[in-house]
Amino acid sequence: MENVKPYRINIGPSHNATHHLMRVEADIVGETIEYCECEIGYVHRCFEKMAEQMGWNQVITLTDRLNYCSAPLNNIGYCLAVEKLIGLEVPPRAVYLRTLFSELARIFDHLLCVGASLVDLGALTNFWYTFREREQIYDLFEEVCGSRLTTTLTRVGGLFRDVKPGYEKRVREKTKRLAEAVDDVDNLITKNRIAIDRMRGVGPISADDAKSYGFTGPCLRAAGVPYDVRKAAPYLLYGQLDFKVPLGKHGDCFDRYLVRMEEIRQSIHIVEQLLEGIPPGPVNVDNRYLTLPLKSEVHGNIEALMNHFKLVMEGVRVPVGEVYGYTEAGNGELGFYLVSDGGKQPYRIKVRPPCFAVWQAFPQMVKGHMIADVVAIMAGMNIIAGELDR
Amino acid sequence: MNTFQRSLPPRPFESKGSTHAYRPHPGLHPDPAGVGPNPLEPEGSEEERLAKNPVLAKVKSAFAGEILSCRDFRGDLTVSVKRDKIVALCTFLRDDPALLFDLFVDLCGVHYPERSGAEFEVVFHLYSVKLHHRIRVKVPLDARDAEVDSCHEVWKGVNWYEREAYDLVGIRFRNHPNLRRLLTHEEFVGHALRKDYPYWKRHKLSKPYPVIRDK
Repeated sequence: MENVKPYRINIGPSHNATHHLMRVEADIVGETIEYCECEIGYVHRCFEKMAEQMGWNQVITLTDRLNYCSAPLNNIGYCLAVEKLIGLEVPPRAVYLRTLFSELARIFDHLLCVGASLVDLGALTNFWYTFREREQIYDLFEEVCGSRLTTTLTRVGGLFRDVKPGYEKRVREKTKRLAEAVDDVDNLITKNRIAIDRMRGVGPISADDAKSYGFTGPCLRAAGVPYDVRKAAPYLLYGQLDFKVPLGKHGDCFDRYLVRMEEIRQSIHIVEQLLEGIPPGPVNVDNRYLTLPLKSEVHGNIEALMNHFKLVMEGVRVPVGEVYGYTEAGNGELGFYLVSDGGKQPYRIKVRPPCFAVWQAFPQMVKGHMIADVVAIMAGMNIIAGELDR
Repeated sequence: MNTFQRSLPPRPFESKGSTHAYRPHPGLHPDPAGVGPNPLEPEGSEEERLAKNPVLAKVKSAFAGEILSCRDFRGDLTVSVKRDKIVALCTFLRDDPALLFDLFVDLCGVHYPERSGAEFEVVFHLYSVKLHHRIRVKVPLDARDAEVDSCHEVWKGVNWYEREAYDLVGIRFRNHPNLRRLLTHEEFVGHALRKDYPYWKRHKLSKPYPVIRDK
């Protein structure tokens, strides 16, 4: 084999296995990958430039399109960053609901990743199991904000709107079925010889390399590094909740799968704790510089009408300064570096997408593996082109 | 009071008289440029927090004359450093046993056209998994010579972030193995995140995009 000249193949940008638009160019000898290079930018629309043309609250709509598989997490991460810049605490009910929505969104992000990556390995049944439950959670979001995928759930200073009565009961019913679905996938895959052969030892990365590349989230924890923003710098309610952070050992595809499965279980556990006592009260701060007045007031009162008009036409204004707000999104640390000059629009927003760092390590992880493993590694990393390219 | 409460249907044209709801909230200063009292802000004034920050003390002792400024806004430690010291500082931050910034978080470029002589800034965000502390490192650059040494050998992840900063802001990184556009097309003219780049500008792009490998 030593004298064989490498043969160059191209995977993507539009390929079934990439799920999104990414391109990989690989040198192969036989079926083994000797070297590969990634190219990104196919869905780049310069989120950051668009955000500079919009008001602080309008940017929330754009954050939906970052990781569109778990839009609520982006909304919450962005609003927490803006609230850090303002120095604002939202009411307890909004904190509870945001935590609840975060965990529901994390569950469906992980369900998507597990289901889709197993489809790529040929295990189609799991896809139906996970996506059936995922649709159920989408219903819960649809009930709150009217849309399923791009939720635009939060506002600076609270939430878009309160949940309807009986929401806790519906969440409880659906999470019960969710646990069953996770067990179904677990029974089919975790001890399945074929699945283990396809994933164990494939695409490993060491803990030091993972940190140096800037891995976060399940991919970092699969390599054995105990870093979860929810534990390291607790935001929302995570400081008071009981949950564990699963860690892998080898940093390979199988560990990533196991970490995600355990995180779904932990998230279900968190949701159950949260449902115990969602406090009553408002979901938006009572601050006329930030939140719209009641419609009944707007229709009957000139001050409220002016207030509404000013907030709609001019938007929220935040103080001069710069912060880095970070939260644990589905794929890892989602950071927003915000620079404000005190104006109506952000001066500069830099998103730190978790996928970007992970995808950069792909050539190293895939080296020496077969072409079929490319698919397994790619799917197990859960690369979302929306936040990769922004 | 909830803005979108649906339990009671809104009743238009019913005046509530003078209402208490329009007082400015004490949490946000009515002057948008003024920084209000912050419930999330750590205790103590900024100077006090900077004085007892162990990370800053360590950095200052090693790079005494090279630190341009330091700030602590909302609990985020920021250190500005001279541009020829950035690789030395990053290596120090990574290797010093009391700092151990092993997790590379972020790198970006920012354009401040109104700051004469320091129009560009390269901003690093770093985190230490073991010691749980964060730092933001900034390198101000002059627009006439917006070039800085590449840190791709300090953390492996820096490579693409520097390409992105070059692509969108136009900061050049010396000794970078493959300093090409990352997100936009090769034929793209200008740098999109510069403040003087109009957001409505369009480009006609004709060529296919070749993959060129790292040196």
